[in-house]
Amino acid sequence: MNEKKFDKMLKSALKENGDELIEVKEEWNEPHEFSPMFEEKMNNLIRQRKKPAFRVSRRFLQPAAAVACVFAVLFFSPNALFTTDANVSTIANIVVLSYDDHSDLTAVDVENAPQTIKDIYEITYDLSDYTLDYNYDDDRIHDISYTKGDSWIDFSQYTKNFVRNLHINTEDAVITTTTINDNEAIFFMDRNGNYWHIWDNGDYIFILYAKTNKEIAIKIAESVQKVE
Amino acid sequence: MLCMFMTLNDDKNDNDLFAELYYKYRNMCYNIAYSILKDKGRSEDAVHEAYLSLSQNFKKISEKSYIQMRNYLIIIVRNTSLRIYNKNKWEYPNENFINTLIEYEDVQIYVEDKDYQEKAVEALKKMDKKISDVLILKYTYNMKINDIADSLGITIENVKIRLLRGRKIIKKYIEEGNLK
Repeated sequence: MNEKKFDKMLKSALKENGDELIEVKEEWNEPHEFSPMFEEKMNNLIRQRKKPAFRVSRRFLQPAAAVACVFAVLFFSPNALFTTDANVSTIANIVVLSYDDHSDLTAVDVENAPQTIKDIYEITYDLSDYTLDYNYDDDRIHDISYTKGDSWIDFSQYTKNFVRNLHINTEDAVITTTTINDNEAIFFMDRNGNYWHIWDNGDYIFILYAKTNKEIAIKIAESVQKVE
Repeated sequence: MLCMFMTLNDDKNDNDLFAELYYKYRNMCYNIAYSILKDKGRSEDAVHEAYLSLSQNFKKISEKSYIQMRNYLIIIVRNTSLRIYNKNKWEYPNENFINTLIEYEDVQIYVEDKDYQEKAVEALKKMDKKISDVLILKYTYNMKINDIADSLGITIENVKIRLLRGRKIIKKYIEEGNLK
């Protein structure tokens, strides 16, 4: 028996006819009204795909947050029972668990901050030569992206209760701090050359990352203001 | 902890294409899932899982034609729905079982003959879709076994057993003209 020959025959048969074997039925086009929960999950999936540098799977966010909280409590406890590879620090009022290739951010003072977005903040720097690429808003997220050729800017405003174990790619990055509108901010350049500013203004967490030159990235971050 | 997070690095065009595929085919996916599960909530779960799978494997799929991407979605949502329906009932073959099948497959076939190809396609049309789907992913879309396993949410062993079963069925059909 020549298995290779059979394989070749099968490959040939399926290469030519494989697509025709998939039956598509007319009734499959019937519209369906999806539940709000489904819509939210899918919108989140699409939204997350838009963000190349940090990907939070909402599917796992809640359990991950729970785990992170347990870890955070243990780390900050004077009687911590164990250690891990993560370095834990508080930078710019944000708890940062730093691993070799990423960091997890968790906001603090969550209870005293708005639980939903009450005020909208925007970049006020002149972006008239940029094109609006993406915009997503819900009660905890205000997210907007612009592009111009190879440059792009992504600005996110989150309620603090959303920022629990937020996964950021910090591989090879040197994390420093800077000041944005009187708020201490995390600042670094990631391995892809994007400049990151992350800060807490007391009410919300802001994340701005931009693929542009450093000076413009700083100016854009400093231009963020409450508009509504 | 890292496994909790998707690390997708698709570019902008891929993201647009993904969204396009979602809005264009979500009703189709739902109706496929509902035809199997007969339950709105579980069908939506199946659709969500299918798109998650598509998202995770998008780099490999986005180079295919539009029709092939649609077909891939059909296969994924069908198999995801079947998996949900049969939760905990999937076969979990052991190595001996696979070896037994390999021995059983010893059938003489003259492969260059077009008639055999036609019969193989006939057999594929008639066999259980969960088996033909794996054969299509393997031989039409040239997917690796581990990628098929990832896409369908099944083990590599289960992919192998379905490939072996499919091959066995096709050989038998070519020899005897029936599947049983």
